[in-house]
Amino acid sequence: MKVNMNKIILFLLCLGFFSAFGQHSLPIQMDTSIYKYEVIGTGILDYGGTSIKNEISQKLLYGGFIDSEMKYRSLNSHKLQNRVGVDASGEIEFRDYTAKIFNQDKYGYFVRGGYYNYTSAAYSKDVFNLVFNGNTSYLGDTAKLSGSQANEFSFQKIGFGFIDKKSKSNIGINYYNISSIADAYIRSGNLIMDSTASNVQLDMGGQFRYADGKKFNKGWGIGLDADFRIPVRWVNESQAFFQVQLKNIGFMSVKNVTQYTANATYDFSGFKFSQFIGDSSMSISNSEDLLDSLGVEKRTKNQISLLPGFIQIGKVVDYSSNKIVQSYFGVRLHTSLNYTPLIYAGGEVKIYKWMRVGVQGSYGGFSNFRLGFYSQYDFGKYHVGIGSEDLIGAFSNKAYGESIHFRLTRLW
Amino acid sequence: MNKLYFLFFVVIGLSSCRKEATRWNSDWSAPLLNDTLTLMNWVNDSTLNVDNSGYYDVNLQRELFRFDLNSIVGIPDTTLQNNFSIPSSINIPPGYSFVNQTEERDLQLNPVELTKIHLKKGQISILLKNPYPTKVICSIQLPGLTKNGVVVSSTIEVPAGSLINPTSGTKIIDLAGSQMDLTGLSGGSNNKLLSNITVTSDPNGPSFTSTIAYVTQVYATIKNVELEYAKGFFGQQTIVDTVEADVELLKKWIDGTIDLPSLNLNLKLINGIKAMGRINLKELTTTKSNGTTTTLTSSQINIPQNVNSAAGSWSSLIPSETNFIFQTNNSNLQDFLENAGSKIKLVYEFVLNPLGNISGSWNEFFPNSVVKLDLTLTMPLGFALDNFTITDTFKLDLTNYQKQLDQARTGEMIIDLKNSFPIEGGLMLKFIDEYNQTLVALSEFKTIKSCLFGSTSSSSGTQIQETQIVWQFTEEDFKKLSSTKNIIVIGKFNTPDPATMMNSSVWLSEKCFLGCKLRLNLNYESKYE
Repeated sequence: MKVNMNKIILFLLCLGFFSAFGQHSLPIQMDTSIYKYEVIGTGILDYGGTSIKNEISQKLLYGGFIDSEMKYRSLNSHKLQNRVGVDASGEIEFRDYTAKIFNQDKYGYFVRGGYYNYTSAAYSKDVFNLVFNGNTSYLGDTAKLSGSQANEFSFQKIGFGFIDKKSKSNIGINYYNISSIADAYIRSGNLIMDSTASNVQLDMGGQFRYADGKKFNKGWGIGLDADFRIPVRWVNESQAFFQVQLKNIGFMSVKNVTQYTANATYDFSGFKFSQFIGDSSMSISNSEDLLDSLGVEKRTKNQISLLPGFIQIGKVVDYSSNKIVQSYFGVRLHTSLNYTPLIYAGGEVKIYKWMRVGVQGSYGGFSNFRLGFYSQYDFGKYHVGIGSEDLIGAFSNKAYGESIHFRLTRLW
Repeated sequence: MNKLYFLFFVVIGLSSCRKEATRWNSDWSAPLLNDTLTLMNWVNDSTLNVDNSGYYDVNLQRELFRFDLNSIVGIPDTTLQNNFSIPSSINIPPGYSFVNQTEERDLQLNPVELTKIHLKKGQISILLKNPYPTKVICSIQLPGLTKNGVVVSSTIEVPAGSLINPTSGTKIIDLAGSQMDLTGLSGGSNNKLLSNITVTSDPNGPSFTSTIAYVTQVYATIKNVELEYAKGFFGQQTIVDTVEADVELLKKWIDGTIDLPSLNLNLKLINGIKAMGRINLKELTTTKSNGTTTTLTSSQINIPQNVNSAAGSWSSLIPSETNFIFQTNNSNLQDFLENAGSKIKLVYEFVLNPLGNISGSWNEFFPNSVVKLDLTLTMPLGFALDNFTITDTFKLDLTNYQKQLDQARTGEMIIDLKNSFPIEGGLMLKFIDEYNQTLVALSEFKTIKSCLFGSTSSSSGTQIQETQIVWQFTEEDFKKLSSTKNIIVIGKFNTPDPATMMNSSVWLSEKCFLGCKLRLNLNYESKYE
């Protein structure tokens, strides 16, 4: 009873500590124990960037007013090119280890469902300044917009696959519903303003696409999840496990994607009276009229593209090992161009048999260097993990991201 | 333990809960309008001319009315009926012509008496009803009607019918380009249409017995006739009519006065038909929207004037002209125009052949003949304006922009003007909703100074006055603007003399222009939920 109370108090302390800052992180472990069934629920809310400070990111995510001081501080930390991204997802999975697949005791099966949202952008400093401060600060100057791009995907999946009962290696196929998709890029772009705002010149080569309509189903996709655990000989004759994980690797097809393409230099000094007055006048109530007058080409088409998936390769912690301290490290690659390869390395400490904590460092992804932390608690048949891949962001409004990862497992 | 998990999810849920919209303010500047107004668009548009000194002259030319000659001298849609029967019982063998008759029918055009016409378009529709128990072949010839020199004729075959249910056959003859002699069988009459109809029994059909009960009915319908030439006596006809015109520009004049220089108003009746006439301009009035009416008084008003016949013919036709010239010394023209309202009304009477048929039935009109009344107003484009105020309403539907306008915080509209007109103007804007209620009024008249107060441009040699007008918008203004359906622009104009500061006459040169650059500065709150 005393042990149980300690567990609860310690758990609540950790929970209270991290939830106050809204972020945490998780380990990936190798567990060769044999179970009958397993239900795993995971949730991730992770955003980060190279330049936008948390005081703005938090307002963007949770609401509130972004004042000029906040914008000034973030603008100053921007470089020529910058990145930002959000990963918000949740998954639930049921594993059946009692089944005999292919008439072999070795394999079980799993079913999996989940919701995912990926939003990311790579952008110039001037794009940030334009969005948050407007164009008035560019009077008599040029805003450089080239090389900026952004995308947003929301999709749901349901999948089925097979799992090695001991190593937990698994592979499965998923069907995806695409509920939202949008992307934009500015291949070349300069906004040139004269000193009195009497003339605006926009050199623009870019595109904006989005799936139009209010339907929940805007497209579909087929993809693969796989998780291979590979034992290797490690230092001091010990054994370690490496993981090769693929998630949401596949393609999607989306119907009725509206595409606006601009590829010209627009020199605008103002409309003419005749454009407002008379039979051939332009209706400013109609944005299509306005885009037409600017020579922006509009098309509607079907689009086939890659799902926003990722591949992670690295050493994982052995859950059944007697070691107090274990290392883990690896590399993570996203299919998004805005996500640079992320490398991470960390160590896990088994404090009690029922409690583990880990600390890690990472570099890359949507952000630069991040320090992560996680804790895991075993309550009999329940395992709870909570952590963050960005510990600094939990303490500081001046950091560049926040991260909370949560996992709950029920074993039978 | 379950409570622990519940608490955990609640805390996590609350910590990630969005409580309000994300908002931030940004400053935007953009050009909206950049244009130069001149009067050059109206030159050579029957409105303005430029004289040898480079100044504008008003040369307003408008057609007040034009007679439709086909409504005076024309052939209305007419149906003529002929019945043919054999008075006694007779056996009709196959291929036997049992009707062969020439008819002369009056077209009933009184008081018009036509002897010859050329048709630009028109049709004759022939309908034949056959009561006989065999097919009949009807041959129709119109001896007075020729097309390309050939007499117009046609044939209709009508299947067998019966006394109770006669069968019908129709044929439409196109009259476009044809000529018609209407002098009849005697050659000295008028309005007479000749026709010759032959009805023959089917050469391959049975014989049958015809009695008096068998009647072959033929209907000839003349319709959609438009003449391009007519000869005869066009009748003594009197046309009394009223022409009313709404002058949109004058509707916008709501206050103030205008002082015009010497001017000429010429009303010219052009008669392109070879017939005499008489014209009487009974009344010419102008009425303002407040009901004030000014009447043009002159010795030429309400006095009939004879109109001569046109001379020549066809391509050598020379219309006659009857002029009414109004000037400041023979009428109250200046007062009439300085008080011009938007509604202008002319009451006139035109009598054709007022002396009767004195031409020996030799009235004619030709394809190029017109009878019309033209107006020509000429004057130097000069005037003195004293608080001359005009207003105009433009559509500006901002109701689809409610969200954006609600997020606008402050704004200013800056207009940079370069004025080389010797006119001082004041501008006021009103934004109104669908019920014509004023939402936002930029009520202070902002003055655009006359070029006479400016400096001379070294490049163009014209005087130019530069003015900047700034209108401020508050957050409340922007919120109200979201119901805008129209914008009212009110302009007040004067022509002050820099020496005396009194309004005096100015003349507009072809170099006059008003350059206008409008830009917007906006503080805007971006917001998303």
